This record gives sequence, structure tokens and C-alpha cells, in this order.
Amino acid sequence: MKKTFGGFSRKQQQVVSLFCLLYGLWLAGNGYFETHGNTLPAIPLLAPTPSGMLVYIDPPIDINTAHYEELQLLPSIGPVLAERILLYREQYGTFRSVDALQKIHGIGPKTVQKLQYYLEIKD
Amino acid sequence: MIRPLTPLFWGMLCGILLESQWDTIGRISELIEPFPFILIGGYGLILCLWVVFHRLHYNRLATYLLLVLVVIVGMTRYAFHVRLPVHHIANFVTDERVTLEGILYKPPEKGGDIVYQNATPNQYLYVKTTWLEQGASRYRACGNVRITLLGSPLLLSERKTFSYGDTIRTRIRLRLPQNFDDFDYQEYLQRQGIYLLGTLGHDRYIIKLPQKQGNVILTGIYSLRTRILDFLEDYVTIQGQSVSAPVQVIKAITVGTSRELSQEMKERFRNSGMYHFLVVSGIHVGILAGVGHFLLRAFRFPLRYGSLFLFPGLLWYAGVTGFHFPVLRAVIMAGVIYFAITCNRIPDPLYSLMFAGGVLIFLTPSAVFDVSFQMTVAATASILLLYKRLMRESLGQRLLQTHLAIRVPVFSLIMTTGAMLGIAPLLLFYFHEISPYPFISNLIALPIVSLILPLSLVTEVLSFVLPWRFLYPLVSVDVILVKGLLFLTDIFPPVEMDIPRFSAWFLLVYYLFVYWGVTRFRRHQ
Repeated sequence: MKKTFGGFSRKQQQVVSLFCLLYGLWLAGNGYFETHGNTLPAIPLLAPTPSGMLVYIDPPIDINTAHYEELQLLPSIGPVLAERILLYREQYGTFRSVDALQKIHGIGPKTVQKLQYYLEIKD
Repeated sequence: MIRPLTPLFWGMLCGILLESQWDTIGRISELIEPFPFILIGGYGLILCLWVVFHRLHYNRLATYLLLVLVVIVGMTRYAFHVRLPVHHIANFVTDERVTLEGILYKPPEKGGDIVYQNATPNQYLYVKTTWLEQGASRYRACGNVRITLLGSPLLLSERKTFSYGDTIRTRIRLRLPQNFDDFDYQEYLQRQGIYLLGTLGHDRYIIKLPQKQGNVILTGIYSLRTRILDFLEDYVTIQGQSVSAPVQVIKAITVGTSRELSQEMKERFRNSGMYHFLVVSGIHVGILAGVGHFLLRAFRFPLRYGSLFLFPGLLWYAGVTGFHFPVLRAVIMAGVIYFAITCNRIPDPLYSLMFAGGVLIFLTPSAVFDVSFQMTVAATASILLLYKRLMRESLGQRLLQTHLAIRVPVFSLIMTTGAMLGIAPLLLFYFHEISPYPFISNLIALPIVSLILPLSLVTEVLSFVLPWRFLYPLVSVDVILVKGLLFLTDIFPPVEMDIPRFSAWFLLVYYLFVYWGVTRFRRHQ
């Protein structure tokens, strides 16, 4: 007996049409018009702050004036240690030597040994 | 209609293929300014026509209208998927130095040829751009880039650790990927969502910003993955470099880190026809599901309820291995089958495959052109069709009655035959090589991998609760099994083949022929 294509049942058609309707609403309200958006807003970098623009350092840097982002570019110094260094400077003043960094929790002799190539103390 | 998903799947696939070939929507929308409105209007008109035919009980006409809509869905899904928004980074940058801020949307991967001595491997960072600073302006941008951190160590410094969800800022030269010979590397990366590449000599040039973003569930999954990898690395540190190569293979089989394997190791597995064991796919999901079913049966727990635990476990495994298409395909199929069993219905694996494929191509239309997607669908479809054909024959029924010792290797051979029928032309088309040994090597390797994978996963899960040193004997068992696998790869000598290039039309003709040949029996009845 030859098979004929009878089509979807009524319930199947309703389910498929609901899916198509939802997709159509998404298409109309969402992505397709986004691709035809107009100008792209740009924020001009007027007088950018050094810390905002910083992405690399030229060692050696002064441990007593280095910013939060600047400190993170040092080896073994991440966001937490950078914050601790800044906090120490606020509470106790400037560092007298690079070795004084060992007073900070999380910085030991090995870290100081690595950092001495990148840091200096300016008068 | 008994299987309504079938025409829907083919309709959506046709739409995707049409749009990818002719870029109809893309071109017309550039010529006619209000084309989006025309498209939505036409779509709505067809839907209204359907309502009319539906109310008048013209079922066949109504069905054809729905199929036209599904083709349009496929076309628009693809057009939307590939079109870059205005603020996409690829629209700004082709080859210049910019300042970039973004989020790591995947865990970093080790890349390149790993040398098992003291060299630091390269690291790939996958960054989803959020801000771009170019010239004197800062733009909110989007788009994914891949940054390669070279392995060269800086003076007395350790590597920064990066993880999923980290927000970073860096100044980097971004460029378009370069194609190799006849391999369109740019398109290959674009299908993964990566449009630009950059290289940094050291992580000193990357700042980790305080904000940690990312999905909570994915953060949890990826941190589990990192812990599993740390556990295995710790084993290597304790036992020595002699176990480094087997542990790399265990990692590839368990968690899917085949990229970290050396080229030599990959060649060994490729030559012996066992490379698919290194790439986490449906086989691995099948092995885990099989172990799960065995345990449920051993504890006399009905699968109907046990699947409520099995499916989340498989989904977790898909996350840990990186949500690749082959694994997702297998997990979705498993989900559909378990759902059918739970609802007391008879599952249809071929239909589940079609559902899984349909979901994947709807969510990611470019998956149609992904080699791993094509291979997983082709292999699974061939195996299922061949099995179905065999079960209609009396030979198939007799095989089911045989002893386990005969049934297992015979069905393993049938599976391999089915898989080879499905993927052989794809291997020849894309890679111009094929191994003649899978029929023998798979017969021996499959039971070994079926032991390695569950044992490795159980050990790694236990590592979350037990001290690691208690678990190292289990890892040692895995290492011995892997050494057996490596010994097996050495048995098969490499075979040089000069495969001529052929057109993609040949693939279509081949698959139509195979489909007709395998299902021929049903036609004559």
C-alpha cells in the first residue's frame, strides 16, 4: 500500500505553531534589530588616570608610590596582596626597604627575593 | 504523524544550509533597508494563513505552511548566529595593539606540544570582551578572543593562576587567525566563537581585576574539574615523571584534555584506530551510563527512578568535560530515553538522536559544519540503523540468545562496523587518512577503556572526601591499564595512505546509498 503524507495531526500542528510564534516574537523583538543598531557610543578617554590606563610597567617601580593595578603587575602579587600593601602604607607609612614587605601577611622571603628586581625605594 | 520531529529537523537543517550557502537574508537585508520588517511581516502572514487552514481542517496545506516556517526559522537562526553585532571586536580590530577588558568564559587550557620535562607549557585564555580601548576612546564591546600565554618563564617569577569568571585587563596586539594550507583555521575558530587571537610573552602584562563574574553553576563545575586535574598532577609529582604520559592519557579519557597530549602520543592512537577514546564523546557517556545501569540492576533499583540520579550525573560529566557537541548529543539522547522510560513509554533511539541533533542545531546553527558534530551524528545513526537492520534478521535474534562471552565481542564488532560506515568518509574528507585497524584494536581497547574511565572518575570523586594518598593505589591500577593501552598502540604499525581529495557531494551520495542499503529490508516487506 502506498504511503501518503497525511501531515501533522491537529495537536501536533498547534504545538509547532506555538513554537513558531514564540520564535517569531523573539526574532521581532530581539536580535535582528540589534544588528542594525546605529552609532556605537564611545567614552572618550579624557585625561585618563595613570592607574586606569596602566597595563604594563617598566621596572623598577617605587614600592611607596605604586598604585593598586601597578602592584598587581608584579610577580606573585595579586589583588589581595596588592590591597594589603596599600593598607600597610596607609597605616604605617612608607617602606624603608624592599625586605620590609615581609611584614605583610602572605609575603615571605622567597617572594621578596623575586620582587627585589622589580622594586626600588626612592627618597 | 508518528514521528513529527523528522520533517521539522530536516526543514530546519535545510534552512541553515540554504542560508549558509547563499546568505540570502544577509544580502537582501543589506540591499533593502526595511527588510527585517518585511521578513517579520511575511513570517506573520504565513502564520495567519496557517490559522486559516487549520480552522478549515486543511491538514496537509497547514503542515506545508508550518514546514515553510521551520525553514525560515533555520535560515534566520543561522543568519543571526553568524552576523556580528556593531560593537563586536572583530569590527574594530584586524591587526593592532589595543587595551582589552574581559571575562574568562572558559577555564584556561594548556596548549601546544607538552614536553614532560621542566618546560612551562603555553596557556590559552578564552576571553569574552567587555571593554575595548582604542586610540583615545573606550568602547563597550563584545566578542571572544583567545590569548596565548607563552611558556617562557620570567626571572624568578611564578605563573599567575587564572580561572573561569576572572575579569582581566591587558594591552595586546590582536589579529585575525591565519589559515594553514588548505585548512580554514579562521572559520574553524569562528565556529567556536573566537574571532581574534593574541599572544603575550608573560602574564605580567595581564591584570586581574577585582570583579569575579560568571555563572555560579559553571563556576562550581569548572572548579571541580580543576580539582580533578590537580589530583592527577599531584599523583605525578609524588610518583615521578615515569607516570606522566599515562596520567596525561587518563586525563584525556576522563576529562577531555586531549589537546595537552604530545603530537607523538596522538599519532600512536590515530595510527591504531583508537583516537576516539582520547576525545570525550558518546562512547564515554555510554560507558558511564552502562556502569550506572549495572549498579542499578545489582541493587535491584528500577531504572525508571534511577534515571533521576543518572541523568544529572551525566549532565555533570558533560559540564566537566567542556560541553562539547558529542557529549551533549549523547546526554540529550540519554535524557530523552530516560524520560520515555520514566513515563512508561518505549524509547526510540533514532528519534532521540534526531531530537538531540535538532536541539543542538537550533541553539548553535554553526554546529552543522562542526566536524565533531557531524561525526557523532553520523556514527550514532549508522550504529543504530545497522543494529535495527540486524534485529530484523533471524541472525540478530539468535545472537541475542548467545552466551555473554560471544555476544559482547560480536556486538562490539557490529558497533565498530556501524561507526566506521558512518565516519569513514568524513575522516577521509577532512583528514585524508584512516586507520585500517579499528576492527581489531577496538575489540581489545573498549573493555580496557570501560575499566579506566569509571575507575578514574570514582577515584576522582572520592578525592573530594578522602585523603589523596589513600587513593593513589587506585590511580596506579589505572596507570597499569593505560600502559596496556599504550602497548596496544605500538602493535599496529602506521600505514601511509595517499587519499585523493573529493567533493562534498560524494558524501551526500554515499550516505544516501548507505541509508538505502541498510534500511532496504523494510522496503521489500
